[in-house]
Amino acid sequence: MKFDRRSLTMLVLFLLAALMLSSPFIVRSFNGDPLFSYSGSYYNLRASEDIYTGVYWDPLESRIHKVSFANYFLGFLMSVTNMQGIIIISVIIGLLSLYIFFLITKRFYLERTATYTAFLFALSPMFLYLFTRINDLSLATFFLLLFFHFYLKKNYFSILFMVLIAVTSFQFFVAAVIILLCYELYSRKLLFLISNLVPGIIAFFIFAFYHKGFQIFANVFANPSLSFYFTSFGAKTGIPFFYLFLGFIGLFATWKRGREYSFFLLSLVIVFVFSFFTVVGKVVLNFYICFLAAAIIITLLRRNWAVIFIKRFSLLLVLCSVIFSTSLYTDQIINENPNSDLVNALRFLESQPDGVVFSHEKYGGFIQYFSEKKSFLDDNSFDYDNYFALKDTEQKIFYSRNLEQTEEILKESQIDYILITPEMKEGLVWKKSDEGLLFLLENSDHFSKLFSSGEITVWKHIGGFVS
Amino acid sequence: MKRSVAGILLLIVFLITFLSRAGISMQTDIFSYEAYFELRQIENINENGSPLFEDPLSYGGRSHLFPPIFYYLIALFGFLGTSLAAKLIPNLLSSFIIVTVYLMSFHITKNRLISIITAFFSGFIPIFFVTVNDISVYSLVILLMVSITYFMMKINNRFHLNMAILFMIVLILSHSSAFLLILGLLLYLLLLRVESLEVNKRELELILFASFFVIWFNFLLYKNAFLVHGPLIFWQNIPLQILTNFFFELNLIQVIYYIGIIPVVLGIYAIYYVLFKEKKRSVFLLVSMALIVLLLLWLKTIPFEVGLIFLSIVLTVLSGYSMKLIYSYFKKTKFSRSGKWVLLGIFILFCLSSVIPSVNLALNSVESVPSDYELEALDWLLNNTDNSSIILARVEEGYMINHFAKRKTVIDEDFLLITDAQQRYEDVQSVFSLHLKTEALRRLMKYDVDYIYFSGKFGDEEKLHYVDEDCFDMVFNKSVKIYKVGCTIQ
Repeated sequence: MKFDRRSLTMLVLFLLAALMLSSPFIVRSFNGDPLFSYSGSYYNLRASEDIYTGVYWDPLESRIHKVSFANYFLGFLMSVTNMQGIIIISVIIGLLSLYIFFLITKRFYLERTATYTAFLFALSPMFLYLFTRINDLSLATFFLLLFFHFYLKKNYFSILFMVLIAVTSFQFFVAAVIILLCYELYSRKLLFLISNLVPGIIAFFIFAFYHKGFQIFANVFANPSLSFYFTSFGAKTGIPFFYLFLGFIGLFATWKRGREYSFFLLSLVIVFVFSFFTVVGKVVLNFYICFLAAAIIITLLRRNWAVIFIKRFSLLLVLCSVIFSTSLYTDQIINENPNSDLVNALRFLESQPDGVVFSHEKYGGFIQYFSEKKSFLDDNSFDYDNYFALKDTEQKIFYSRNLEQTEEILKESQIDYILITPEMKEGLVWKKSDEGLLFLLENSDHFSKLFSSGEITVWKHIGGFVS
Repeated sequence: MKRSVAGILLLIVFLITFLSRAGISMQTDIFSYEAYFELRQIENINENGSPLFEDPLSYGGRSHLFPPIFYYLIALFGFLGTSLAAKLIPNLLSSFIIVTVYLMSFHITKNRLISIITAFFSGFIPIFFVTVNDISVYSLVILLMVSITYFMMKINNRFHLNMAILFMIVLILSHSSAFLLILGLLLYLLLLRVESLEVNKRELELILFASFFVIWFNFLLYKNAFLVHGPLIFWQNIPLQILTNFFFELNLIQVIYYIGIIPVVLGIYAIYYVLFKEKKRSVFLLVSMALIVLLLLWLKTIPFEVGLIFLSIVLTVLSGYSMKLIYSYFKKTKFSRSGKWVLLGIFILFCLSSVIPSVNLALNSVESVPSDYELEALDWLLNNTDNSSIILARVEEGYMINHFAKRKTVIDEDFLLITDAQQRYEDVQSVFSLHLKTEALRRLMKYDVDYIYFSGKFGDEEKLHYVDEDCFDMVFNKSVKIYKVGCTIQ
């Protein structure tokens, strides 16, 4: 079978993307860790299972589940296949998204540019984050790409995907509308625009009406700090610093005057501003950045250099920065919680009588999923009305060495179990081994150590009441 | 002047400079207080093959961030003995600057005599000469920067282009002040554009490549520090109280004293002449460097001392251009023969205003080293305390204690990646000034301090006011006092 150059390139692209998406799972599986990372994934699994069977009330958080179309989809997958099957489907969705993004870029620019853009997208941390799980972000991204693909072809199939975006993620719906409006500055096809928007808006209202848990403003105007923005600084969903840097230079390389470029530039500015405040902004910005970075790479390749050594070294630097960004993020996913020790501790807790588990809020999702117990705080607690009061309570428990005071708070909060991890002892909560609650746990007989594995310990507050 | 004569004179100037520096430095076996950080790195490379990126002693255990090339370079000469290599190599590197300054000056002026004089000037800049007894990374950095600037002037020559690339890479891997050079080069491009001068393609490619490389490398190296400190990283997370001593207001009197009146006056005249009278491309490069350093000093984004060192070298080279202008002017007048006398006059004035202050400052710096009593105290700590003991001393003494006593310290002058640097500094300073014993003990307990090292050399206090026999056992008392902390607060 003979391959032409284009087919070979596409094959390499898809193999690379498949390898990128599957490598975290392979390594985690090899290490004996659960396949998915981040507690949000486990909340989704738990919520999707409930929602698919018609249970909208979350007994562990005592409120309505957060609902989107993604939960129904994931719930359906969980009913027909296992975890490995879900992973395969998420990888397939990723590869399809990659191909559609390639096709969209090819509509506007040369195939070479589209190919480089696709490669950069496949190597971007955002690609890894989105398609190593199935959640509202990943599905909405897929639908967004499909929507634009059909919209640009003036195919009414786009309406279906606009509807699906609207019922999956409201923020993605808003992003799609903004980009569409910017595009209409160029194409001026209002009728087609309206024919897509109206069904989307209707679908959104109907879905929101019947699903009180549909998140509209989740995580909007979240903390715009560096550590939440750049994956190089540890952000879970972020942009690599060097991608942004290359993209910024690429902006000058693609600078043109004209209406066509105006829509691109306007939408880029809006998306860039929103990327500081929402995850959806970062997801969409990633597409722009991949394109701009590809543009500068092609410019560097095409340029007539006076010093060939500098050309080669510059391209090597670009390649290294892309690879470093990706490998750092892959490493982050592989080493992210939960690990096997944590899961063992939580499985042990599952066998214990009911009760509330106290730990750092980042473990909340894991506690709920693996031990099927309530967690005092978790990733979703930020939108509780009394979140700050709960945080204050959490801080008092962590840092007080006063046994009476701590016990009183534990009793008021109905906390029975305490989960301590090595990360908590190494700076996440405490810096010294005898700080606050650690001191009480080691020196008071009001606490009993139920489980210890590695450096993970589970304690029971003796005298705390069991619900 | 014949080339051979110029070569001999250059060699003589080089030897004068090197022997002056080395001679003054060798007056003591000891280094300045801040040099012991570098010495520990070099020793660790000789013993273990790598610098101390993970330091178990500083701050009781912490990570350091720095490019290690300079330390590897000195460690390469470890066969001479670490101390001797640390004394000689930085001074040798500082002296080599003379050669590059001569080449650069000759390229600009085409006059060997003036170039020799300029080279001599560059060997005796007070602010730079005073580093004779420091193991200063700037000895390498300045040499590389000056060399790169020279190679950029002759970039159309393949050899010089290759050397510029090589030196640029080494500079970026040596110290973060490579940013200064890059900013200067970018300003140079801007000046060329503004003056409608053609931008050499090779120059453009090299400068843009270097810009990208320096951002890439420093981002990789200082990523964690940037995450921890944010924009404060540009001020190295230095506590506010110390910051005022690092980032002075730009003061003309101080500039003249530390650089020398001749380089300042002649350098400024050269800048004026190039910007407003005759556009000379090679001098533009130097002018850009000078302007960027002035700007950064004015904005207080680089330490005063560092900025002055860079500025002094640039102004010195520019002063060669001014001397050429003065000499050429005199040659056109009736007093054409007095041109050389004018140069002689400038030279004598320089010797009086710069050489003498340089030597004085260097001799003073050699006296500002740890005293015999301090060494004895540190030796006592080494032999009479546990390996895990934590010593509280002044910031300036931290490195010295780590090196001689091999004990942990609470604080020293490297504040990067220290999240509580400000608080820690305030606590340590208050331990020396407090009158209340309980308050002092509270701070000592916070850092698990076992011993207090009090030399009285830094700070105004003559004694610790709260010490008593109950809680503080004076275990060493020979000018330097060491107290063992014997109490805690429940």
